[in-house]
Amino acid sequence: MTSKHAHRRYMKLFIPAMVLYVVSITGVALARAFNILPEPVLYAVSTIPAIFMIIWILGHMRYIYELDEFMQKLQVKAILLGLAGIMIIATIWGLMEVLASAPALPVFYVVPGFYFIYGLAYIIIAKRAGVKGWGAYL
Amino acid sequence: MKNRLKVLRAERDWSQATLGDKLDVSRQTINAIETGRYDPSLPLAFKIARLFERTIEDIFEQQTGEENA
Repeated sequence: MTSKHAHRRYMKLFIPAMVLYVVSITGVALARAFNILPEPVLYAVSTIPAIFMIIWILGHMRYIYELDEFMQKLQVKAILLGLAGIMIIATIWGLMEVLASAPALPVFYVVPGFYFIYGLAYIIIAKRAGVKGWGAYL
Repeated sequence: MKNRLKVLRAERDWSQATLGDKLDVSRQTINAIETGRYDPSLPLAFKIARLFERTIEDIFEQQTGEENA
């Protein structure tokens, strides 16, 4: 399978999963804001966005498996940098919370934080590897 | 690692995309190999060699100082 096909298959899964993830998070946040649901139900409903997240993560894994070896290498490097970046930030901020009374950040931000760092890392890694423009993604 | 991929491809008048299709890899991968930014795995190197009906050594050449890299 070519990178183009792999990317198309990934997007077919990722876009609806991301839309449903955002919609479900907004729904949960609104339910909390307007006190529509009792507390135990809110706990249960809060797990719904994770279902869509699991779907897009599995889609991302399939995407990486379907890429050729060079494109896989770029993805793995970017994922490692994303993980390293978010772990470093979580460790520093966590210690500041514990030791220096820094305001508590919701753990929820770990995933968007990871994807932000991973995305930036991928752009830089792809550029350095000579993969320019949309060729890096298609 | 130096290689003759670009020359062999040009001899057949293939584009990077065409060669990529024949080897089941992306155009970006062909470009990375040709420019020396990426050394292919052994299975891909064999695939390239078979496609051009050459040995791996005919296509890829280890540069001085790479032995212990």
